[in-house]
Amino acid sequence: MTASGMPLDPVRAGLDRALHALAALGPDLAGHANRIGAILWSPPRIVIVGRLKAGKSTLVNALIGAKIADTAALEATSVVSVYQEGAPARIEAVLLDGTRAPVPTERGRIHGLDIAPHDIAYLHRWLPSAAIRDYTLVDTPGLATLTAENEARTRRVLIDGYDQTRTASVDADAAVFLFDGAPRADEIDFLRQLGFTPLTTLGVLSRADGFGEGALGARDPLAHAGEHATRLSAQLADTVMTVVPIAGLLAETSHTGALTEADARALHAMHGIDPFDLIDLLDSDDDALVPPHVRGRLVDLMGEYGTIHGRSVAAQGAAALNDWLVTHSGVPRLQNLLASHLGVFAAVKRAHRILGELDRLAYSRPERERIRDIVDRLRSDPALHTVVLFGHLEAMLGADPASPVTHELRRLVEHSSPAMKLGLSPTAGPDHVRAAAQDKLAWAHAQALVTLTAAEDAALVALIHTYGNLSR
Amino acid sequence: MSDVAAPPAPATDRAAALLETITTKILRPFQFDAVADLAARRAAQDLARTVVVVGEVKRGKSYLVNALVGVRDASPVGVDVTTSTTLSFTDTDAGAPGGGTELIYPDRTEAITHADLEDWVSCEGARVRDARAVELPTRAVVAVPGNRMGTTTVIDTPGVGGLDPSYAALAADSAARACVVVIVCDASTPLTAPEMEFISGAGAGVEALIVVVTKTDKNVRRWRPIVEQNTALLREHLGREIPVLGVSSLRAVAAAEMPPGASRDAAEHRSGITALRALIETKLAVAGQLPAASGLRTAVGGLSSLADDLAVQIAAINDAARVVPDLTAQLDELKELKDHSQQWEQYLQRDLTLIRQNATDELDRRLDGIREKWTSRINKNGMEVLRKNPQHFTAEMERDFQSAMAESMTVFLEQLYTTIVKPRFDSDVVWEEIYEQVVATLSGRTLDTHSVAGKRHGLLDPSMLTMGVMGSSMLGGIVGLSTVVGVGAVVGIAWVGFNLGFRAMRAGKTNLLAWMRETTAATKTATARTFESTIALARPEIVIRYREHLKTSIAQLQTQIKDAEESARSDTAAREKKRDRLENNLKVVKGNIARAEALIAELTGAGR
Repeated sequence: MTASGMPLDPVRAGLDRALHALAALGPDLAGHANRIGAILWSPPRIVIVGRLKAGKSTLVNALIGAKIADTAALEATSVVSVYQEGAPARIEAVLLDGTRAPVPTERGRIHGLDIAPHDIAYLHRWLPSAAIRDYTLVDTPGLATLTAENEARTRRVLIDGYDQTRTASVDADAAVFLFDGAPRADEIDFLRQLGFTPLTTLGVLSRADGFGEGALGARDPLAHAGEHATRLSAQLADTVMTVVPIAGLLAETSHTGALTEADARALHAMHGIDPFDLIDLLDSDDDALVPPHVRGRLVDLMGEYGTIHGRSVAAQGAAALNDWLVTHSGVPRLQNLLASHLGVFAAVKRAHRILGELDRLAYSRPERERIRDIVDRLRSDPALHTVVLFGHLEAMLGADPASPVTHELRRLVEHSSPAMKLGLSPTAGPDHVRAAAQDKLAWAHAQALVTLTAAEDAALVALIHTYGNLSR
Repeated sequence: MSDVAAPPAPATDRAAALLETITTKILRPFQFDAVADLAARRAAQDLARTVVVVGEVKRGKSYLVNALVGVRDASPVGVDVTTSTTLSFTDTDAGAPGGGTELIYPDRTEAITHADLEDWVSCEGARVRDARAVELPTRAVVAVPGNRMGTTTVIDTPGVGGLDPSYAALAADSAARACVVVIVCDASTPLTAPEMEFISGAGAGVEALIVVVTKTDKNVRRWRPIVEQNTALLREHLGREIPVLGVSSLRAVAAAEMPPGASRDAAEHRSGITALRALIETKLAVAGQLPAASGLRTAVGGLSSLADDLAVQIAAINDAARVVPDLTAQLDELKELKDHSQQWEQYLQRDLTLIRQNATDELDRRLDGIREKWTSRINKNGMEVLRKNPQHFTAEMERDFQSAMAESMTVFLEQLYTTIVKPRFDSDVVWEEIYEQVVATLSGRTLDTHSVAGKRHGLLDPSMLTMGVMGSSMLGGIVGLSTVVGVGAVVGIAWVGFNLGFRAMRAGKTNLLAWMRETTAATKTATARTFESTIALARPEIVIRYREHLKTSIAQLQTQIKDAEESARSDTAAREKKRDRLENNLKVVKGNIARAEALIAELTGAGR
């Protein structure tokens, strides 16, 4: 049992038992069991999606802890990259036909890739980085989507990135969705098409350090971004779990160890200058106490906000400055969410995917009766009940997201305590809980008479079962 | 001309001096007062100056507009604010009496407090989002106290729907009016493909374009390379040097709030707004040059008449025997015309009918185009797209219809001048008088009321006709025909239908298309009626003036004949003295014509 309280180990244990049973059915089934087992035991895959230049690769670098993803050029990421923990550090290009080809690197940078990008399905990159032990990151090309009104003018712009991102997301368990203002309607639609639920999607408001009027404005941009993120969280509750503001540049710099003592000293040397004058200085090539190339480096590392507001902290040295950057980057909260909430539901989705794999096997194999037995036993395993409900939730989100059944499912999956599952306060007593469960049971029976879709039918069966359990 | 190093005085100054000389020393002494007055009026005319700010969404257009006029929040800005209609910013003298903010509906205007503006003209505004709204304004005008752009109107456009190519066409028009188009781009990426396409669409009018890269304060190290890259891209793709400037609107607005003085000047300079304003000013210089040229052109007309008269007098002295019969023949011709005015009036009627037909044909053509455009757009993108932003699209439709109407009125007026008035009169004075009457009809008000007619947003500018330059009325369409021609005019009646258009857009495709058909029909009817009443008014004017013109010409011919006969009777010495005097005068007049034409060429050609 993990600290978060979610039944991850019983789930995995249950699935593992099922896979052993599967392997016992025959030698080639053992092969499948191993394949599915690899999926089971590998860390959840989190795909990073968003518009061109939204800051995806910068965030990836920050989360990995090294400047690995290429952030410089405009169309930097033109292929999907999967970052997985492993040693030695190496890169393989996985081609469309499934074959793998090693990619030569020089000091971590790709050095002479002679395969055309459109032949590559994705780049598989292994890094010995503890930061990506708990999850695998998938970096995608930007969605250069434009508003629907522009459609006529931008037919040609409908992008490789779109298809590649979609393919990459087929195998992903959760998504982090980056935008730097407000997501556009067609981007949200795209996200839905990828099949992610609000439980497995996290929104990131990027470039928080330049939000609104930016560093020179009347309001602190980070605070402004935080407020805006909260508003967006409410607005996008049906699409994302929550929205987190991130200052990508501050994150990357502070998490990749780029800052030196010399940098801190140089930054501090510029304290006392009025912010507007400081911007002028940073914008110019004038000789000053801090030479222009050093000033340029500071801005490249910390942006306008970091350079203006980090000056006083810089007096305490690089370590203090780095801590300040970390705090203001917003990454700690993001990592927390990735590990706790998103990670948990990603695992649930992963488990559900495995159930799907087993179902598929049952269709295609001659041993189908016995495979179905194994799957049925899994489905009725109380430890996997949340996984089953999650499957229904995914289906309902596709069929009828506004239905009350969908809301019920979400609440049941999202919360761990019976009281919270039923929408009661966490301190409600067992009698109260039972009574509420009985009410819900009655409601579910009534709903079952007026269903609109097959998904709803199936979901209500599961709900009735669930409420039945809770009412005892 | 002694000092080669000293630069010549600006063309407009020289034009003013020359005009003064011509009117006081030649025209008035020779009884050409009417022409002299007209020339002076035209030279003094204030041609409207306009800056139109365009660009994709979220580039900082509204913020740049605020920076230009020097007032924070003049145009609503913010992370949750997306402009949905066209907003025009003027100074307080030109705006509604008392200044203030006005919402413009298709059939009327409404004054509101500035603080409420955001609710009405932004996509997220409370009124715009209100599902119960029956109608919404399609434009607004804000009179800004202390407007740093002076009498230049600044127009903020919605970025919703992407870059509209008709704004590029506006730049192409800039020969006829003082209009600059500023396209606002991102400081962190080079020009995008749609932006390049837009700029190419300006064609020859690209001289009136300025590219501005905003938010430089948030892109400290990146913006300069971007400006360089953009300049290079434009040079490479269009073969021209199109100015690219970097501006921090935030700093400009902050600077504008400082008390006037050296610090404020320095701060504004550092924000980049000073350079932008100066560049705009330079490109709008044509606003001063065109009227000056127009005044000179009018004066030249008078000088030419005088030259002709002098030539006849000289010929009469040299060869009375041949000249007198010539003149007598002409006189007989005119008397013939005077006596058979009915025939002449028939031809006039025919010509008037013809131009009305041409103008209505033009309108039909354009209305067909509009229907095509919207039908295919609805069929391709569906009603959903329109319903997401009904205010914006209603405004765009209204603009299309108004432009069509304005274009057809332009054709009408242009042909009235070139095919009817000019051949018959060849006098700017007469045209001016007829024109004033016509405009009064079209604007549904008398000449003495309200100064809007004087503002002339480039739509109906008679002096431009005499220059042979007729611009399109795109600007009228953008600013709002009603602000030019007058609300409640005959043309206004067609627009009442636009309120219904807004509702129709919300209702559905069939409704919308049905509404468009009805509005098209209503527009045609209204325009036809407008032309009818204009013709009904103009014809008697033309007839009366023609009769006067005949009388005057007859009198002039009679004087010339009398003079010729007198000269024939007088002695050689007196004749020669008179001839010398006349030839001298003629030389002076011709010399002035030459100097004036050279200056006109300079003002209209070299100005770009």
